[in-house]
Amino acid sequence: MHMTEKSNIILITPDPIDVTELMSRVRRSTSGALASFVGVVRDHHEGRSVHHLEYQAYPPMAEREMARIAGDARERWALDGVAVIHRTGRLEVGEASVAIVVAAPHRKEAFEACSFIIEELKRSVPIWKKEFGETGEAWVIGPV
Amino acid sequence: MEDGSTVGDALLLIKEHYPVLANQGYSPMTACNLKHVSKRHALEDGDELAIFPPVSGG
Repeated sequence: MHMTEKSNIILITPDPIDVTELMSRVRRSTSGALASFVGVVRDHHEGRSVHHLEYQAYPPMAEREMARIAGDARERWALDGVAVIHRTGRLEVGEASVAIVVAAPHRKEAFEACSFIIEELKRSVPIWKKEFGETGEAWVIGPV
Repeated sequence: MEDGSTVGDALLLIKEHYPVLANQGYSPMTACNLKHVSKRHALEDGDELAIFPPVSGG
C-alpha cells in the first residue's frame, strides 16, 4: 500500500465542534471503526457549581503538542486517521471543549488510541481553563 | 545570562524581578521553542522560553 503523507486534523478554534464532520473526514475505506471522545463542560467541579468556563491556549505550542500526540498514536497503533480539536474562549455548560476522533481498521486500536490521545492532551497541551461559578472566577491549575 | 545557563537559572532570575511568581503555590511547566523542557535544559541565544502553570485543557 502506498503511504502518502499522513495528515492528521489538528485544530484550536473558537468555533463549535462538529464531531460528525470530523468522522467523515478521518474515515477511509479501510476503516471498520470510528472511535471518539468528546469533553463537555459540566456544571460542577470539586463540589462547587460551575456556570461557564473560558479556555485559553498558547496556540503555536498547543497545536504542535496536539500534532505530536497524534503522531505518537499513529506510530503505536494501526490507524487510518486522527482528529484532535480543542475550543478556546467562553463555553457554557453542555458545550464540547475538546474532541478526539480516530479511524482505524479495527475497534481495539481505535479505542486504545483515542484514550491515549485524550490522556496525553490533558497532561501536556498548553491550554488552561478558567472556571466561573458560585464562588467567583479562578484559573484551574492542572495536577503538578 | 551566561552561556550554558539553564531554564532553572532563568526561572530564578525571573522570580527575582517578579516576586509574585515565587509565591504561586505550584511548580511551573517550562517550554523552549514550543517544546516541553526540563529545568536542566541549557538555553541558547534566540530561544523562546515559555513559563506557565500546569496545564488544564481538555
